[in-house]
Amino acid sequence: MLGNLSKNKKQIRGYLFILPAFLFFLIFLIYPIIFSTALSFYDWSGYSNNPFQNFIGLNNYIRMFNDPVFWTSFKNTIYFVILSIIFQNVFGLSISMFLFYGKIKASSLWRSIVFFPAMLSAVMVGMIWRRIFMGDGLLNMILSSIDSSLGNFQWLGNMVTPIFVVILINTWQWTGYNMVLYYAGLQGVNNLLIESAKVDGANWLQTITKIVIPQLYKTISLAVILNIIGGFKVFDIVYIMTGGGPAHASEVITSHIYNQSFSMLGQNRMGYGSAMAAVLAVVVIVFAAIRIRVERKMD
Amino acid sequence: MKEKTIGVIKYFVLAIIILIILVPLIWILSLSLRYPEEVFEILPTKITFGNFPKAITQNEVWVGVSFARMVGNSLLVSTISIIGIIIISILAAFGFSNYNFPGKESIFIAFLLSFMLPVQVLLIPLFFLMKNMGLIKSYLALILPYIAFGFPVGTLILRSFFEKIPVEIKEAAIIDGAGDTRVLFNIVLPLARPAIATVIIFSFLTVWNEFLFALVFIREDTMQTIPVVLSRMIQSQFSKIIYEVYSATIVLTMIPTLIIFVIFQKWFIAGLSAGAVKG
Repeated sequence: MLGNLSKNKKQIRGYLFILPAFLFFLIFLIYPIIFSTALSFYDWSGYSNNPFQNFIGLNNYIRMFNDPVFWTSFKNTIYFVILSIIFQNVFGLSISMFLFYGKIKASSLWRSIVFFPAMLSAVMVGMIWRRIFMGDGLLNMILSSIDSSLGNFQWLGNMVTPIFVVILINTWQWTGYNMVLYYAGLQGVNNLLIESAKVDGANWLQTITKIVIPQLYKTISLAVILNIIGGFKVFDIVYIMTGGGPAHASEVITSHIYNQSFSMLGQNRMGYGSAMAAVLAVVVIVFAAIRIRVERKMD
Repeated sequence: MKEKTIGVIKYFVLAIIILIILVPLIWILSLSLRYPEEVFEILPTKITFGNFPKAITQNEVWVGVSFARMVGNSLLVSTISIIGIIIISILAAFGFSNYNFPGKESIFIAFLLSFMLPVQVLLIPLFFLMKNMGLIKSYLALILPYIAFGFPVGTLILRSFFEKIPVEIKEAAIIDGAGDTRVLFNIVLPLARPAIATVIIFSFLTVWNEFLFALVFIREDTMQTIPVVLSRMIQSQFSKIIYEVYSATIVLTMIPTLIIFVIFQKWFIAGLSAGAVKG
């Protein structure tokens, strides 16, 4: 270690260096977590000065279990997580292998293009895709030019398709990110094994499933965990595309929290919002802890 | 012959992948170049560049803040947040990599967990924290939380880089009589430039695109950042949306991201595949 300082002095210096970070951590993370957890046992509209007047015990949590919109948002969040895992990993892995093994010219240019949407704000991505999926958007224009009886479907205005449209758009934005992760992973795959599998007469499908994918195990676990965390956190794209509507059909947990707590039209139930936030936090922290373990193993 | 067929199929598949990515972007670009009467056609018959000046000059009428102010807000908030993130991350990363103290690894993991937490979870308490601190009409209402949620990634990236710097280099400086702070400024920081660049670029991306905090914490129309102002265009449900200007605004605000991406794409891809990051 540095210098000739005594052990104690060195320890104190260590604490001093992390002190600013720790203060931010205390004020903007620990204090809010405590405040929010406490608030989840109270009824508060956000307008009175003292949040902790109406103690209602577990009522906010009970309300959650009896709230059909919470269950819709829960179901949609699960769709989001599961379909994100499937789409982003299947597409991300396929495209990365296609570009890595396909001997494609200018492959780094194509990689950059596929990655580019991940650079944009979800707000912008949502606004672009609205001009495609809205009733008077590009998709319906194309459909009605094929056949005049088509092109009237409201992709974002019915009770079934909106959440899936949003999931597809989210896939469009983040597949390139997953591709980059996998591309980095593929650079670590042992090419000698692939060559010898070919010599032994394995076809390309066997080579991929038996040789390449097992070696990508760590990258796959990281990508899946990232997709799980990302899926539970999703908010911006839903807010922009549908606002959770119509009639809460495409609500996710985060948008439900927002609508209950801050929406101009909502009832501003801060305590209820905090109860849902607490449940969401527990779920994500479990997966975040798994992620940290996976990453530490990778190092 | 067979190889030729494979080659054709290969580039056909590539074309489809690239088209799926590019068509929405081309579509919005195409809308931004149209006259109002052709906004609901698949292909335009004539184009105009008149929507870009309109996007810049009419923003204020439309969403209550001028285009220049909107961009200025984003630049100001991003710059100060990034400076804060960098300073705090450097100090913390140096503390973690150079000293041993009780609770070190637990604190580090707690920092890491904190940036993975969905920010929505802390929206309510943070809003009232900002309100009670009297900050909701100040840029600090965004800058402080951005630093708080940005420094953990910075610390993670910098710590792992600092720990790769050979001890001998530092020890040589100490023998020459350098104190800890001089080791940090004269030895560690110059070597860590690539890692610092990664942190800057990644933080910029996160802060520049951040939406939810910006939507809730700043209660002053003229102080809002680009994503929030953009989002107000679709919220104006009672007035008709002028799609050609809407598209022109999107194209204009995409340009900075595009430029930065073209210049720094290697850094982005390296930074992201370090696995440390995804909003």
